[in-house]
Amino acid sequence: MAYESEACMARGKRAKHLEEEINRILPVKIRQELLRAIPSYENLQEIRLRTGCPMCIQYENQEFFLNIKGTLTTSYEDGMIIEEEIINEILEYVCNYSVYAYDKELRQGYITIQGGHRVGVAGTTVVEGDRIVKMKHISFMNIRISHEVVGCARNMIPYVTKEGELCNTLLISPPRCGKTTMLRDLIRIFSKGEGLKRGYTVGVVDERSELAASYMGVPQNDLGPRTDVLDCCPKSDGMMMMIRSMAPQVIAVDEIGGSRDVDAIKYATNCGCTLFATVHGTSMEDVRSRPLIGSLIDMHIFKRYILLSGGKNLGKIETIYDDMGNCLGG
Amino acid sequence: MKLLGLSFILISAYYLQKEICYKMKHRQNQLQVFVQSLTTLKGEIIYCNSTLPEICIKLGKRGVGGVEGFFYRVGHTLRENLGNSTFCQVWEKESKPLISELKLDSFRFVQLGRQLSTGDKKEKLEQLEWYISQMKDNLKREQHLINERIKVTRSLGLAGGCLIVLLLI
Repeated sequence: MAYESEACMARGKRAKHLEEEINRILPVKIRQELLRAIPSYENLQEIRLRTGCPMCIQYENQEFFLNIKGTLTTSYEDGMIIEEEIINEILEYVCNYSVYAYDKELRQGYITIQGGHRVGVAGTTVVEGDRIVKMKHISFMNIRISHEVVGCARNMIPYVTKEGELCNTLLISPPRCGKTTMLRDLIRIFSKGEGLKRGYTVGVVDERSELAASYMGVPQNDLGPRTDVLDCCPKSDGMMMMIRSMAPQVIAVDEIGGSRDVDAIKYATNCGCTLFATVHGTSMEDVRSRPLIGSLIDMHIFKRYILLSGGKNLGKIETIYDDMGNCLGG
Repeated sequence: MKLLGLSFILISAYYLQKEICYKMKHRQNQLQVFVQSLTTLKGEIIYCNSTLPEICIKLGKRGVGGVEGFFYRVGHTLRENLGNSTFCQVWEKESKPLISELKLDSFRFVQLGRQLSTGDKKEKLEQLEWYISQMKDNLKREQHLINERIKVTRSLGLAGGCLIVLLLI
């Protein structure tokens, strides 16, 4: 009973924070209409804004348009049209009134804001040689609301440990199936030592600010008390730096794939660190067929492979394999 | 009694001219502080990549009232009210007392605020450099003018006091 009320309170607190974080970047006009249309932002997934087009939101896994009356509609003809000024105003709020300070992020196409929410932008790019030097005339925005799913990786714990020892683990799934969310929860569990004999020191190399969602260097997601985060750092360099500077017991990286990543993984495992990583893929065969990741599989670097399902069972564990290809569960 | 009255007139004339000179000097000093603040703002943008609310609060911490007060108010309002008003609106609203105190060109000053929050670093650098050079030119002209005015006020204050004393005698 006490646990339930505690969880309820935490949920309420999170919802309040979420509302504050999103309201801070929306102009008053939009904010009022949105608040009239949606009672709580908890089930809000995306807000899409396009200059001259109606405002579109992804709410409870469904697409809606926000109309002028402050209600949700499925027909885009009734939607509230977004003007250029609104996009500019949002950009100003997202950039904390200082667009110049976010040049690099704008070039990458997204900005992480307080709370770990990601604002994707698109407009006109200025290219010099083969390099994007600037993004101007921003006319499209996608505000992706970050949702932590605390406890989603608990079922994995018995498979990720073997006789008290941690196993190098690779999470495999197609895009948008919950790899990053799972990895984030795995980090939190090991850092806190939830259901384990003790907590572990975890080093997170967060190249795209997706795991920790750091805002001004401070993680916005709960990654546990024993976690160090290297934000916006290339994975290969970051893993080496982490090992040298922070001596982690576990290293976590998202979306490996490059040749330099593979070298860094070999180095990290040789240093005695346990590795948690994710990779895009639909099956073991799909991952094995790639030359770089395939070489890691052949070398038995990873001891556990966890496949996540998509579709209706989004984010659920489909199958777990060991390094010999034996199915351990699912 | 007569002597006391005379000395009182002389002292008041002296302090009156001192007060006027102080006000003129104060404006000149504030203009200098303003130029320095803008130079710091430029430096913070180029070298530290700090955001405008951070810079304004930092500049506002240097003192109270005048230029520092303006920056403090802007920084504080921006930090507190993110999502309620744009930088330009806050800058314009808070600039009124400063414009009247320093007798600044209100159009140019508001324009500067409008340009600060948009555009990239290069644009910002050019805008600030242009505005600072304009301010420096103004300051140089004003300095010359103020120095002359101070001299005149001082001489007039003293001469006026002496004249009243002579008349009374």
